[in-house]
Amino acid sequence: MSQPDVITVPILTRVEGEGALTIRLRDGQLDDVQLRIYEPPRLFEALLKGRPLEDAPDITARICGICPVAYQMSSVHALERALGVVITPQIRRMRRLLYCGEWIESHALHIHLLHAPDFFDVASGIALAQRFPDEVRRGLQLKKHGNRLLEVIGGRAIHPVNATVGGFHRWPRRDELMSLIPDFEWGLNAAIETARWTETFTFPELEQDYEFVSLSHPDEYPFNEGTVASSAFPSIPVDDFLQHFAEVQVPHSTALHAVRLPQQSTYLLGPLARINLNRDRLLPMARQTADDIGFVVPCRNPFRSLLARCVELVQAYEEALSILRDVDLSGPSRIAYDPHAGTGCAATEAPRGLLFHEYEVDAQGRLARARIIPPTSQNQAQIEADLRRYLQAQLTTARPRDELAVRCERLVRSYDPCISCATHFLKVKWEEA
Amino acid sequence: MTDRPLVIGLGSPHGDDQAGWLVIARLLERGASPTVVRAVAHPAQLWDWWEAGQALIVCDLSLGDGPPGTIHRRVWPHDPLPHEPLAGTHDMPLTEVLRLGAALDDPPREVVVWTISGGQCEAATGSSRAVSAAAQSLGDALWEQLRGE
Repeated sequence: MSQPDVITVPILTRVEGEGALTIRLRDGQLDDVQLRIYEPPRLFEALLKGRPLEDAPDITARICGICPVAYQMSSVHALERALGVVITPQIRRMRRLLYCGEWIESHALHIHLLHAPDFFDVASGIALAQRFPDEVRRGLQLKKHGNRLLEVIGGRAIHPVNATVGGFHRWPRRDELMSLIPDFEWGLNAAIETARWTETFTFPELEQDYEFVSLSHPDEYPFNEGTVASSAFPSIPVDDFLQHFAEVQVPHSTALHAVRLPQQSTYLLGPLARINLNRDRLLPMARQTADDIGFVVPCRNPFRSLLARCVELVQAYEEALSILRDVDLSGPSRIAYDPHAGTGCAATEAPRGLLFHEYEVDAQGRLARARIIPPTSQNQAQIEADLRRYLQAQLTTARPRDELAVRCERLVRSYDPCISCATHFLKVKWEEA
Repeated sequence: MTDRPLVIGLGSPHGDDQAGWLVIARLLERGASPTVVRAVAHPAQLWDWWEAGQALIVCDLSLGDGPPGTIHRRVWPHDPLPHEPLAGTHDMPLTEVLRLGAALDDPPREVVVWTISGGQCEAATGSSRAVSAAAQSLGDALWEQLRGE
């Protein structure tokens, strides 16, 4: 009898859903830690193949409901590289403003409702609201500002539809943009208050010898372009990303991990990496806030990502206000192009870290190949490394396992991973050899 | 505080899960103001549109709640809401969103949850005929209610 045919699904990517944590002990000592992501592969790259290149921004935005702009921005920049499209300064500024909206709604939600409860031993934002109603109200208001900005520029708050290759389908309305200014002035001060509030939290001790990786730009805090900077190696052009970083498959996760080449080491993306590598390019009020809350770089404590996120919340408001006060909608909203064969890649900074896209376009303007490497999959191996180091220290304290599980869950949450359904309600499984 | 209730349609583009969005589409078609009639993907988006004290009407799909197209009316918190599976990143079920409002002393004046029973929610499919018809009928009924307020 012949062997059955082998069916292979080689694309194991995009995770937004459920995960769990397995900790294995041997003779009371840590044997292994696995952050298991078992969400089925979503096959977005295969879905894109053969479609018109114009579909990429809107389809990839569906990968995530919380950071669709990041997917749109990485895709449009990569496709513009493939087509040789050069956007105007006006379009570039409006894209930065759109990105500000996403950072504001994502960071405000995570700081107030997902992460802050951990520092008060409460299980949810609802319980936190009973102790800190004003702070939680403030968080909801900030989140609302972010979504309103996304709606004004992007056409709607969730999965905006106005971004396209070459620019925007239409300019946002000037009066709608201007009407946001009073709320954003209030929001900037509220974001600073948020940072001052979180400064008072008690952060667990954990120092890791990270390689920080983020985009870096000589003139601005990174959003949508720059080189790939590292705390351990020289900066590289985004075009060389795949020569220095690779995705690898691990048996316990349907999401690919990512490693630094050639040593196959872990690295850290996200707010902590961004500020550590770009602190001098924060805008004045954000930089002052970092000073005021004692955020010293390099910060190597992952729990303090909360503070980094607060500084970036101030940064996003400050930059948004700067653009809103000097709105320039002159020139075309979209640069025309003729589809032709080409390959291009780009990286932008999603709230959770660097998001890499690469596309190959055929002569008819259809997508021949797509490659998407999101920040959460890149951070997975680093999360596991952090958990190992953290647990090695915690296991010497004879704490009950239930308490250790809660502490590990909080460490995972400090990354604000895009598997928050799992990480906010993480099931920890203990295995004794 | 506005006297007009906020109508939220919860859903996604997938099959019968469009039920809430179809109700909103019908309301807009009939002439409802887009400022108080909103289609959203996640319950937490309710915070983006709801004003403190404003009455709230939520339209959503329910599963295993009778034959496809069956419409149920529930008043929160008196009536238990149908099971709400978590569906995505940073998602919070409707009940938790409402409880957070209550914890902040800003609960909606009244919360009425209309559900349409459905079944198939596969990606890239339309809603079933029964759910589409029920959504249109519910949209018409809500339009008459809104006009009377």
